[in-house]
Amino acid sequence: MAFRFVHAADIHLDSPLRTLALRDAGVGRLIADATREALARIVDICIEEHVDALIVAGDLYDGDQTSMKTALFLAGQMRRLEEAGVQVYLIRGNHDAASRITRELTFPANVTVFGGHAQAVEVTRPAGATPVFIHGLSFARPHAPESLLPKFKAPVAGAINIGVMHTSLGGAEGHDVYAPCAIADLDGSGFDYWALGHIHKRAVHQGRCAIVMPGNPQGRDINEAGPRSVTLVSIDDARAVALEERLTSVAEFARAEIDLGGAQTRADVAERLHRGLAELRQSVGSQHLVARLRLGGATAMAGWARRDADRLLAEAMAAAQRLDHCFIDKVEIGPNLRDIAPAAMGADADPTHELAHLISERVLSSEAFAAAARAALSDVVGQLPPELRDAFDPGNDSARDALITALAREGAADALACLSADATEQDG
Amino acid sequence: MRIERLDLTRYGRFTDQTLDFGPARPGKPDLHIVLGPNEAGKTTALNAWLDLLYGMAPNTPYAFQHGYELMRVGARLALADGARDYVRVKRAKNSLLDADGNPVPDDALAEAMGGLGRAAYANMFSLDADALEAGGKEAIASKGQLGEMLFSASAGLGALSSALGDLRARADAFWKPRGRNTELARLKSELAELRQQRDAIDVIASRHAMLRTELERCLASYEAATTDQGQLRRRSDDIRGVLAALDLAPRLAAQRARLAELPEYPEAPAAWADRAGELVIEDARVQAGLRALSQREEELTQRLAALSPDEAGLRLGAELPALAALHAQYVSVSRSLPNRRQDLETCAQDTTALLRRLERPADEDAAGLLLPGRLVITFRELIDRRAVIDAQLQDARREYADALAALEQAEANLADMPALAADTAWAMDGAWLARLAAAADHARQQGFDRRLAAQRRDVADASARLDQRLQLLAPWRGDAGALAAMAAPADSLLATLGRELAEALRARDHLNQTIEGQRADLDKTLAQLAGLARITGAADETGVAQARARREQAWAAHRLTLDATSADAFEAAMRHDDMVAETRLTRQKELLQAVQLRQQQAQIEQRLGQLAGRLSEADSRICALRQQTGTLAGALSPELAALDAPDALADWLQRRQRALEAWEPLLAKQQQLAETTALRDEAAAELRALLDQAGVTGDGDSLAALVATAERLRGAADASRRQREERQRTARESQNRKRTLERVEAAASAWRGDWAEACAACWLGDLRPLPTPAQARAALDLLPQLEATLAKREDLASRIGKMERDRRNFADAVLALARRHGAHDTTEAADDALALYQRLQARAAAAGEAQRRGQDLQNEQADVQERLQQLGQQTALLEAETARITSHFRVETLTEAQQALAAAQKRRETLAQIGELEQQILQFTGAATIADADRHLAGADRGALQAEAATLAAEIDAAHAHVLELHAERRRLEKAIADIGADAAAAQLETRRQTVLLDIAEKARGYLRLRLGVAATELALSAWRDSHRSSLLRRASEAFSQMSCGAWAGLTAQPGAAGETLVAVDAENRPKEVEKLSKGARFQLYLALRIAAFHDFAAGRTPPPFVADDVLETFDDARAAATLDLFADMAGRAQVIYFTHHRHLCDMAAQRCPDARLHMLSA
Repeated sequence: MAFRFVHAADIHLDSPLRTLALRDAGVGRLIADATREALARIVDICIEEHVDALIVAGDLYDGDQTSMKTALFLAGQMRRLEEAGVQVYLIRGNHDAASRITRELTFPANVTVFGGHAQAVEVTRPAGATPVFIHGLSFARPHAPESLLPKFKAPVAGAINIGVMHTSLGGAEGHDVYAPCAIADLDGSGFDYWALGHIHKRAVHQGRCAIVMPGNPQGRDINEAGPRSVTLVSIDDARAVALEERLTSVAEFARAEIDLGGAQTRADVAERLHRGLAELRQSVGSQHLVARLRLGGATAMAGWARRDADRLLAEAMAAAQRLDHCFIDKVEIGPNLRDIAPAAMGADADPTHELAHLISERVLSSEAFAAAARAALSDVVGQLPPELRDAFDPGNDSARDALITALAREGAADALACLSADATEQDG
Repeated sequence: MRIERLDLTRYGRFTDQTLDFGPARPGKPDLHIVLGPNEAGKTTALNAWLDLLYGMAPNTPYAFQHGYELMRVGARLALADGARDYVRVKRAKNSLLDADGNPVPDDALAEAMGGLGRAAYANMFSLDADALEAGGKEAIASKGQLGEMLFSASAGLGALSSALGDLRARADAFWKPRGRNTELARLKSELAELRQQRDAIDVIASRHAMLRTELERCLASYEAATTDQGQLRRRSDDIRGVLAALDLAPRLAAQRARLAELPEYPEAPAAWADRAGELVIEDARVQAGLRALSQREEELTQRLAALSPDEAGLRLGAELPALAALHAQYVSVSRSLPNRRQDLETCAQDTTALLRRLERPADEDAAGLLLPGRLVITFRELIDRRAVIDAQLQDARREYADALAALEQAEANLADMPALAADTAWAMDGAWLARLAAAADHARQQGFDRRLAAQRRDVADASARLDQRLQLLAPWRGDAGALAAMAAPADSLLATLGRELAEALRARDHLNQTIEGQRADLDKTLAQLAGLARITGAADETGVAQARARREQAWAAHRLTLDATSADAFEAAMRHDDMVAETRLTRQKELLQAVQLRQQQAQIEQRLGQLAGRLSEADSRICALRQQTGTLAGALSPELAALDAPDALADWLQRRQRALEAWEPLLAKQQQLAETTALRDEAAAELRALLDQAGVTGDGDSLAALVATAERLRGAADASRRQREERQRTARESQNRKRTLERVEAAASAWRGDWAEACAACWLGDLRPLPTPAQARAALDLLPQLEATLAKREDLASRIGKMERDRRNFADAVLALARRHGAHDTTEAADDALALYQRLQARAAAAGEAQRRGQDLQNEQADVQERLQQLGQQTALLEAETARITSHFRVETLTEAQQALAAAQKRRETLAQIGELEQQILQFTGAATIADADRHLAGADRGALQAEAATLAAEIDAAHAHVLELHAERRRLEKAIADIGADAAAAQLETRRQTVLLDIAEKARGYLRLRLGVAATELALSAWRDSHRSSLLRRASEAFSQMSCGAWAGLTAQPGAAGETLVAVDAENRPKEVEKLSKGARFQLYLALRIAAFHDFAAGRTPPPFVADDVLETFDDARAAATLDLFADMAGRAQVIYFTHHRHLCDMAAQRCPDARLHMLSA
């Protein structure tokens, strides 16, 4: 008789979604509770599939999450599993280690929380079924510079052994180093299945054993784009492992490049936006789509796009509204969006070109500009909420100058677009 | 690139319209003036040109006539490698076709534009009034900032400063130092509010832990506090018990002492104590009753013996009720009889009074006077008829008398009419009179006098107006006739003369200006030459020739003489010549310049000579034209010969026309006046003829007098006729009235007969004379009263008779009864039946009463005897009961027994009280036996116990308050934990906060982009300014000066606080900020900058065609001409096309630049 369980990780319950689409209160009502809905969906899957267990490989909440409401919601979902006879095995991740709410929470009897010392818990099974041991270890501190693998107990002979570990593996971009360890070590550990957590992107390794990093069940911003899921695992008596990915994301972040090449009117732009979004919507399986669009191509509308960012966004939102459950995160001007001016013969025939040339070749590298720009930056950074200051004040001069140059290039392009507005330009 | 031909094949309103600019003509300015009236489509042509170059917009507005499918623009363009034909159609792709209709790349022409995009080309190389307006505004918006102004003109961007200003304002809207209502401030406060909201509803883990700990601690404290409170209460209760028991102890001791003193008796039933008392009372009551009853029985026996009955009275009482009805009737009749008798007497008196009123004797049988009903009706009718006849008679007599009086008056009036004169006969002639009246009416209706007065006024007004206008013709003097007789020269001739003279004058002015300019040039040249001469000295051509000639002469002289003097002279001459030659070598450049200047001088002088010739020609032309005009004026009248200006003459002729115009109405008014006078005279003549015919001598000869006479005659005739008619009418009237009177009198006589007949039928006929109708009516009115009175008298008499009979019947019956029972007293008056009846009644009543009283006494006696017997039995029973009690206690009397019973009762009560007290003490002290309790109390200290109780009470209050506090705290904590809930509200608020943070980050990035972008652009503008200022500023200054015809000396840059600004310099060299220039001057300044930018562009490249659309509208002629010169100058560098709808600009252009080509454009 196969042992079946759902493997999830990095639920980050009540971690806020970060997208400007939420500026619309209506969108907020639809997707703001996405992490909660994703957890509820995981529980639904467990109940619908009559699995034996749910394994969560760490990070139930954000590290700075302190609300007891969140903990109580989690407890409520655990009770649903208890009523359905599903066991739950939890380890703490780096975020949970810092979290205070787990300590305050009383779980129902079906929940096993692994402590700071390695444990191998035997799962109650029907007579004659292959015994199953679940090994887990919750590291008590938010930082774990060393591998935790040596601390695990040895696999039990003749039984199915499942290891649950929170690890950054060999390291991943955007994730803190936490209990690093090598895939090869896990593969050779003698376990049947490694249920991992920490890295928010799904990864599967099937060698001598199955090693699965399921990713988080709900992306929270554009950097966590793409579908998000949990893994439904079945290990039969012959210890053969079958994996099935189940979609859990309620709202899916996705990017699209919109080619405006040759567009001549606003109507053309609107049409391109709609076409691009429709294709994207087609490819996204989650209920809601939060899209970030990047414009490119050579078009007479390039200047307009820079000048009239508000109307551009409005056009994009209008295009999104024509599709089901589709919202706009942001519309970006891509680096290859440009005007269809012919290849300049005399580089400075048009004084505006000459001005652009002066800006890029002389002004931006001038000390006068650098001084004025630094003053402007420091003026406004002092006014920003503390949470945002780091993003605008990189701390070292070269990074700051790079930020200034990037902003100034974009700003100058915008300004020149506004100055050289063509009086004959047509709406429509 | 230039346009050789533009084909507006199907574009906007154009169909197959072509502008053929032709090939370039080397060495000649490529200036084209396109004349097209308003609405001819100049703007459309311009757009067609841009569309040809860059393609048509997808939604071009120029498809209204031909539709997208058919739109087509073509051109023949001179390109670097030769001229080629192109056609642009409206298509998404392959819209540009070559001469064979084959597609070429859509942007092939755009590339030939030297890297200029459509907007850039349109901005830089086309110019219209709107662009000038925008440029003028830009001068104000930029506050004359040099960089911005130069750049905006070079790039053709009118709104540069306002665009930069908009960008700065957008940045400031997000944040600016010391700004209050910035978006950043708003977002930050939203952030703070969201955090506050979340904190208000969220429960964080640490707080939850704290709540749990607090709750546990609270529960423990609560239990401890309740236990403490219980112990205190128990101790307090104990002390209270002992104190209460101590209070009871003395009472217990007292009761015990009493018990010891009480004697002991045998036990008796409890009820005896009460019963003994009752027995004493009952015995006394029974004995008293026995005594009273025996006394009463004796009394009754005596009273019965004293009674004796009246038998006769009792019988009378049995018969009297039969008389009750008769008695009642008697009483009633006796009361009303006197009234009836009085009524009867009144009736008799009434009858007598009526007879007296009828004037009949008092004793007459009144019934005989009553009349039968029919006769009464007859009388009433006759009386009514008589009243009518009397009224008619009176009216008829009065009317007849009135009619006779009126007849008499009419005859008297007729007689009084004054006798008409001899004209009476004519006045009586109706036909004549009608004619006279018609003539008079006509004269009056026409209102000749009023009309004549008005017309005379009109004539005077018109005459005055004419005089006024004639005076305006000075120096000419004369009347309107003379004026009309003049032969005025033709308008066209005068207009021609005027135009020619104006042209001649303008030409002369222009020549003078030119001469002045040339003279200034000559002066300048001469001054320069003089300067050069100072430098070159004698080294000019003449000097060299002289030096050479002197050397040759010296040499010749020296050859002849060969002495020292000649040698010295030759040496001196040779040295001078060498020096001159050397000077020539060193001052080669100046010499060359001097030669050029002298050539220039010669040219100017020659030009001046020519100009002088043309000036004198112009003067003589002006003179001739004036003379011609003077001749024309003199021909009109010698006084006008001085009018040698065609304008003045034309003006005089216009005044003459106005005078003639005023003369015509005067003539018409005079004519009207004459006509009206004639008509009035005619009317007067007709009237006079009629009056003469009748021989009437009127009141006068004027029309008014004649009319008055006619009116008088007509009035007299009318009055006479009316009087005659009145006499006839009154005569007829009197006849009619007389006949009516006679008829009424006949009716009166008939009535009298009828009246006598009616009277004879009754007693009225006995009266002499016969009664008048009024008398008869009075009698008739009295008769019904008489009849009623008689009937009433008869009725009363009958009723009185019946009453007297009833009285007699009653008296008889009473007397009979009295006699039967011997109760009649013979002395009594027989007729007083009523008194007898009442006496009988009294006697019967007395007998009945005596009988009833005897019966009552007998009944009472039986009752008393029965009660005496009962009391005897009770006495026996009481004595038996008393004996039982007294024997029990072995005493004699009940009183003694009662004392024994009371003592036993007291003993029982004392025992009970002792038991109760002991029970209470046991309860209070909690002791097991009373002995224990007695011992315990004996040892207790009341004072100490009271002190302890007081302390305990305070402690219990404090403990209770503490318990309540802890209870409330526990409830609060339990509720706080239960209230946490699992909802997402806190998380949603956090999400919203994060969104606001993202929003701020996004907007801050946008803000920085704006600020850095603007800063970079401003720095770039400065750099651009530095590299272009010298060439642009110089050219613009020259163009501005030339365009303003020297009103402005030029432009210069002035350093200021916010950087360099452009200022205009006037002819007196005073600077003026550009934003303070007049609107027109700002337009010219901007145009000058644009022209300078054009030349700046042309310095490095071949410029594309420059197109201007009616930009000179606001320029005066001199400035327009100067600007055309500037355009002609530009046309030396590129094709310049100037669209206009002013023909005079074409003429001006032809004059200023004879090589300019003119084209016509029409839709």
